[in-house]
Amino acid sequence: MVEKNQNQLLVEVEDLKTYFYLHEGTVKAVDGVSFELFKGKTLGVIGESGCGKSVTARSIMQLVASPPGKIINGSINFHHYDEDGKQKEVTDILKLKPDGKEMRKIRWKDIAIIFQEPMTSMSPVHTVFDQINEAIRLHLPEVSKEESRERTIELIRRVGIPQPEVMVDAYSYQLSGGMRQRAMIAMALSCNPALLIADEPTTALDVTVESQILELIRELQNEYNMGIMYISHDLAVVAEMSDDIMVMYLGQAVEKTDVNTIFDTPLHPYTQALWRSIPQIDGEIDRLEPIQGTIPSPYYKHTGCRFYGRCEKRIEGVCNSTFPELIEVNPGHFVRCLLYK
Amino acid sequence: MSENSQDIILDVKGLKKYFPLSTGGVFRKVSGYIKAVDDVSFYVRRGETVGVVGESGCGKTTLGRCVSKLYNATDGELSVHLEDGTVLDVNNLDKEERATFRKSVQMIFQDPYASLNPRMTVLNIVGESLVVNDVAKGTELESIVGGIVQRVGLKVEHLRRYPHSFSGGQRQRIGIARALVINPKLIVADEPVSALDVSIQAQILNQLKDLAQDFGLSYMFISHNMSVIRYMSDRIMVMYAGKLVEVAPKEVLLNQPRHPYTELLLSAVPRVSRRGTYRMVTPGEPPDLLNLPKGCVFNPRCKFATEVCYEEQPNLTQVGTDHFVRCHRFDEIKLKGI
Repeated sequence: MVEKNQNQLLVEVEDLKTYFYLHEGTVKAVDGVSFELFKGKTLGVIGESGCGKSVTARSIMQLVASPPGKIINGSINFHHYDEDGKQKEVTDILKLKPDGKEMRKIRWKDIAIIFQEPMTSMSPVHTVFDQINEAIRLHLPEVSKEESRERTIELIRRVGIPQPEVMVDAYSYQLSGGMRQRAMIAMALSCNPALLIADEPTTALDVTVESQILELIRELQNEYNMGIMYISHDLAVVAEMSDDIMVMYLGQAVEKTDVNTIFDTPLHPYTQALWRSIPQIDGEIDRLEPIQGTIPSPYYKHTGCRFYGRCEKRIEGVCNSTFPELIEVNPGHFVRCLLYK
Repeated sequence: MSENSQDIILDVKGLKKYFPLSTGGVFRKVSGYIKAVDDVSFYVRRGETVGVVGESGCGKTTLGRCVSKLYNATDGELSVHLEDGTVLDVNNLDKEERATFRKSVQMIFQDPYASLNPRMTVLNIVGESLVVNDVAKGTELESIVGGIVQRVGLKVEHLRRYPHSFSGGQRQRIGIARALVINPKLIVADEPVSALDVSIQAQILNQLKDLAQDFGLSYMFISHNMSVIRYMSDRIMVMYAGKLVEVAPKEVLLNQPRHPYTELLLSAVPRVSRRGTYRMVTPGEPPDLLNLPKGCVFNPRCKFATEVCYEEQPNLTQVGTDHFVRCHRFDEIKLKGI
């Protein structure tokens, strides 16, 4: 059993670049993103449409549709640990063939992913058992069919699906949205992954069901000491779920630090503007301040900072000509902005 | 349930919208009903925004469609009170009254991509109601439309363009212009910002607020997002499984709710201030409308449920100014607000 309080390094993403080559132009969906994921800790990734958060997740899983997508740069070092918590080896995921045996071993066994729409990520013609069993038998071939069924029932009991002995043979259309998402989580956990990537898992759910799922994810993280990459555009959800937060805009990380610092003292103008533009259920009810302008076209070629056109603190002549690097302004607090040097 | 009836623009009493389920086949026998909206009573005053909040199956969208007459109610009274004293009985309108109704009550929809005809220009989309209602045409129409389009933050050059050349936020503005051009007094806004990016939501929400003030509009603002409801509403209505469970002025509902479901809903809303802390979670999900429990629809999830709650449906009771709750135990239980 791995020590529950160990926050060992799990994944190091270094300068990841994933581009999509389309007729209309090249979309630099992820354009130089670096971050780390640790066991037992959650990195929240916030951003709006086109910021690249989902493509980043898919790149880690090597699930990028290729063509037209291509991971053209970077490394994703996955650290394997044995049962006693000792480091076994480090694999650069990007050096593996996306559809190769090595990658398939990592995918689902070491890293699992849950998506926003459980209806479309589950097969409509297979039962819950079929889908979870498939994952178990593929990755843990030493497990017998009976054992696999038992494990599956236990898993879906653990994720809070009532009557697991009956529901194990249900089809996805027979389950409500919340139940389907629980089934997806059970599927993701079936092989005890070290890392869980959650891509907007509760966006399509009712808020009372969402709170149950969030609670479940947290409990499971404690139990399995999983690292989690939690992606959402919902500020409050990311705040509740994360230890650290990375804010993304147009394919790049613009600010990265722990959850308290990023809400108490955000430094990047986009982060500051974002916090002021989102309605909250508590706190002062001031007038919302929208971020001026709109998200630029993904094909737009930027010179200098990508947030220039919408930034209220922009310095003309500087911000639109020099590209800002991500620098550590305070210990553990990274910002990509020329205001901080 | 009307107070100060002079300033009420919309009065709803006992509204029901049931969808029949048929067994199919040649005879199409009715086997049951989905009680999408079940005995809902409320009112909206002139110039106020009433937020309607609830989860899947609560009936808020159906309610909005009944109010804007996209659906015909199964039962109940729905009346629109105009400033000149005319009262429109929405379920029984004659031809002329229908025209007046259409000019008084308009709707804004959730999906800016589906709610605009892709083959019509902005001018045609926004101007259509003026043409249909014989209000204006030709250059006069273009002038009116041009004005309203600028009022919502678009440009006159946009009039000749088609929806596909606009972003989601801009399309929503077109939808708002379309609703406003006829000078309605009540707008039913059904999740108007849910499909938009967070940074655009604020623009549209502020736009709606400003327009309400400038034009003296009332909104029935429907959303599943409690934070947005808090920002927009003067009073808030909470719906659950087709029923109205509580309605109160905003601060009262948020801080001193009287219905257990309201408390549950408020506690479930994620908040930045709660980061790093665990919170209590209530099990269960919104019920299947085909399988409603006996007695109060909330009893399977209610920690206060007692015998009577499993037997009888509670009535809507007034507990304060503009504050109504549908609960057997409202005077016995102490609840937490946000």
